[in-house]
Amino acid sequence: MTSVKHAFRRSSAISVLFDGPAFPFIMILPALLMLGFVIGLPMLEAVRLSFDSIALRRPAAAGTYGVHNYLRLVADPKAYAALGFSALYMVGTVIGSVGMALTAALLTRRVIWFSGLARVAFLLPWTVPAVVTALIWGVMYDGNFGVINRLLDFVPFIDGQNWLIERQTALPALIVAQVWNEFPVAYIFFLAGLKAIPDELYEAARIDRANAFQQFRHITLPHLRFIIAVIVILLMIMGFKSFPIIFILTGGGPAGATETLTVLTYNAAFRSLDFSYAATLGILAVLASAMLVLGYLRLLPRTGHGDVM
Amino acid sequence: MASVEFKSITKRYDALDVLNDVDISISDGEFVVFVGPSGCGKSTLLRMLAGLEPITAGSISISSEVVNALPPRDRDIAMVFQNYALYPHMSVGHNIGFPLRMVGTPKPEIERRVSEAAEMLGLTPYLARLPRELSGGQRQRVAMGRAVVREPSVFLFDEPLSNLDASLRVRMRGEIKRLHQRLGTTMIYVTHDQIEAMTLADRIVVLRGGKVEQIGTPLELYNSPASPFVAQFIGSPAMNIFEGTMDDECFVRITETRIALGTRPSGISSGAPLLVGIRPHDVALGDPGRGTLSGELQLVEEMGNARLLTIQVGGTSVQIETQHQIALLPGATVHLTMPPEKLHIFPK
Repeated sequence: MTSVKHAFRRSSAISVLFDGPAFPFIMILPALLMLGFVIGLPMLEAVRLSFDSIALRRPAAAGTYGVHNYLRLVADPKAYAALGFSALYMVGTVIGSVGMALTAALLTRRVIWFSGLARVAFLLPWTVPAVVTALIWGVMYDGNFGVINRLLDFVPFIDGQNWLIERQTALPALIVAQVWNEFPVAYIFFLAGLKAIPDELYEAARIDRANAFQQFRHITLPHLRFIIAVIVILLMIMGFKSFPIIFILTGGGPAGATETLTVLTYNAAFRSLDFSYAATLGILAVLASAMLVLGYLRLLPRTGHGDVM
Repeated sequence: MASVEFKSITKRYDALDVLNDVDISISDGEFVVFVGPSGCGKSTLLRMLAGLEPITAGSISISSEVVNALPPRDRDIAMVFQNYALYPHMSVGHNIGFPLRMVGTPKPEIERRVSEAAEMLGLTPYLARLPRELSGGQRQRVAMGRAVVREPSVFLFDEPLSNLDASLRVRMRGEIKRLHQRLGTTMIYVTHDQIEAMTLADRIVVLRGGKVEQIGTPLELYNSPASPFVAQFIGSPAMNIFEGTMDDECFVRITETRIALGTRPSGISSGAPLLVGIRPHDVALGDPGRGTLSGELQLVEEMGNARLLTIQVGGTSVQIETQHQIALLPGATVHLTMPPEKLHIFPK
């Protein structure tokens, strides 16, 4: 019996590794190494680049390190404007996507006729690549033969527009296209969240004399709070770093009216060929989105009394 | 307070009849228990009264007003659910006050009524807690508090004790009974547990396969069951049922034994097959002789105050409950005497 026990006893070195406090870290080490390689290294390289002076139009300056790109950024009105457009774009897409997704999820929550078909229809935009989304909406927004203006012909008092060419309409038009493309992500989360709410709670609320709005306010929303919080963070990041739809539909125009930070970064790198300044703009984008998300997290009430989760 | 009337109620899901032509009349202040096995339609009946299930045919009235088309909020009912259905993100106080808040009751009034309900149910120390921080019994009391605070005209209970352990169930049963005595409000209670039904009800409605099998007071059901189903469903251990035939004037033949009946049952002709029922405590062990059934003792279960014997008589397994100490071992042959006045005769 003793010998059997002995045979199964681990050697002390292995037991330190597997039973000691280091075990969890050992388990995540491969993933950490992988992430460090594919995310950490490029980020470090971007930071290094932002202090360098690599611009193809001034090749001689390469290798000159300093904070000159950051000084230039602080004095660059286009960067401030881009930050503002990015923030507007982000807020617009988050509000639009959450509103659209919640409405769609509430509509298709209970099994009604064609609800399967409706769910597929609501998920379909997600399967369309952003580039294709941009092309589709580009055709729809067209001032001359676009379907949107054609439909507006039937609506009194609202005239057709050159949606992507007018300063006032370009950013909202982009936001609508982005919302169409990304709201299914939120929709699928909300649908799952709604399905997890026991029917009995709604029955109890109906007996407790709650009307439909009160049921939404006192049962649905509190149960979805955690999911909404997560989705908003996800959509904030997606909105802030969004590029293809803006780039293809307006390229930052008209006259810079939709030049978000990502478009400005692209233009700095591939139009002006100023890679170091582009890297500096990229760092700004990362810091700005991180601060927005952290600020949002601070606004959220702590989990505890009054929370479902 | 209110009376409740079910008239020719039918409920159909596609081709399946869940309830078929059910008529029940419940008077003001009565405690009525719907009891029956799973799938008999008792919960559906309650949910139809609550307004949570549409009615296929028939009508339901509360205080003589037909409520078929009224939404639950307009029926002046409160309901306690099997899984409590407490709002998990609200404190106990908010849960209890929820029905009042929904109709815009002034805050001081809500606070007064919530604290009264909490006091009555012993929940005062827990008002600030969340449901997940309470035990099963406490949650059940919160669900009752939420119903009580409404001061509804009818209380509905849908198997409220089935998630509790045995001892707590007995205690909560007592609390529900006391609640009824104190409030005097009409209560309708659904359960599959016949002991709950017997202890709580003024009247019991036994349902089976979507039909009313019998309605009566607990003692009526126990002493004069209308069918073998009711006979076996009400009372524990269940009534023994033998297959037999009507012999001649006043005898019934079970296996090879002729057993005397006190009076001849009406409407049963000689030679007709019938079912004979007798409660386990009415059967006695006796000596071999005329009119006794013989069988083989299979099992002796000690219950402290009595013993439960399982005996195989012909093809029937019979249970008898006796106060006497038993010195017999399984396998022994025993003889059973059945007093004629204790027999229940059902046509087959």
